[in-house]
Amino acid sequence: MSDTEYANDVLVSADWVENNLDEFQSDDPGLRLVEVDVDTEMYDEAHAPGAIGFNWETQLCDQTTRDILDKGDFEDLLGSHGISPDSTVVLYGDNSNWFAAYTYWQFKYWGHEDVKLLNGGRDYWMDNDYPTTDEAPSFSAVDYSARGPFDGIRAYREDVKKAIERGIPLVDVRSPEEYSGEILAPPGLQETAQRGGHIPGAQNISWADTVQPDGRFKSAEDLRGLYESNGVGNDQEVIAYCRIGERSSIAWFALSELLGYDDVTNYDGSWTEWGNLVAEPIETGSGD
Amino acid sequence: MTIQELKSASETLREASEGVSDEEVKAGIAEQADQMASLAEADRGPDHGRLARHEIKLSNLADAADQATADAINAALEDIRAYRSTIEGV
Repeated sequence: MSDTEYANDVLVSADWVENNLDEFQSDDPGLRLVEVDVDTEMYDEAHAPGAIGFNWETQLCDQTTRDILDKGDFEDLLGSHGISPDSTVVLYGDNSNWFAAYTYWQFKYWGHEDVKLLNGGRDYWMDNDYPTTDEAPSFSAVDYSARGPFDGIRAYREDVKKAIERGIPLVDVRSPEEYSGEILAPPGLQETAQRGGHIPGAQNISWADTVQPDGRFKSAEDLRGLYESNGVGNDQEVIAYCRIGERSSIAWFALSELLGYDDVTNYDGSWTEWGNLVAEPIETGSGD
Repeated sequence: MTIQELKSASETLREASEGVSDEEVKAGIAEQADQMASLAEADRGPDHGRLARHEIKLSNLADAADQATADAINAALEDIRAYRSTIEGV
């Protein structure tokens, strides 16, 4: 199914998805394909046949509590789209799979057993002329009961405070300009913070350095080299963060799922939380 | 419809690549110039995630280049960021 060089069988190729499109379009919940976008107009125009479309902002976040979905909402979302606890779910999406990776992490948080990412995301699927349709599938609803939460993959601000005190590696995956404090967020992105900079002690290892030019993940050897050369090994806890937890989900996926690091958490509050906190320290500058 | 900012970035990068002696850096900049030209003419403009990938690649190339080339790459990055400011995102 996937490239076996990685620690876990969690990454599928576009070829594999194409070869299984009949099953993805079947009402049998065994295989489900989900496109997760911020700009859902793209899904409306064209998507992989059989792919369910999720809007990250309105369907995968709790807009009231500014949180991930609660258990009941997660169960309702999946069950109403014909996804059962036993489904093998393949996620892909726009923005280089940022929000698909976040969704993967949320699936794992709520204990979905078999979830995978389509390597390269929507860009790779479209750039390489794989089949598309503008028809949204309709699958019979099923019962969904979540096993989670599994809090061990999520970091909260208290965990970050302890990490600073204990010298646990913090991986800031944002751009160098965000990390230094030169800008608060990339141009055009709305959620931001009062202060620019980074969490004290954090290292800047861009999410974009985990992928090849075509958006597919680098090899396990290259990923390991990237992190180990920056002192991030599998001998201690690691916390990844970015601005809103979407780009850090890519790094969390690379470290936890592809490399098999034992204790990696995603601080989904990220800079929009830390950068706004009262009486908490930050650092500015490139860190060189 | 041509995306002017990306077209401008492509042209800046193309010109910059011509004066680079390091073959690896030269090829890298030329490749980015080609991709910006392609994205400028695509039916649908690139999203934040794709452009962020290009930004990091270009920043890495600037780090490996001489000052004049780095200045040109940074000018291209400004064009890319100007376009990003027009794209919706969260």
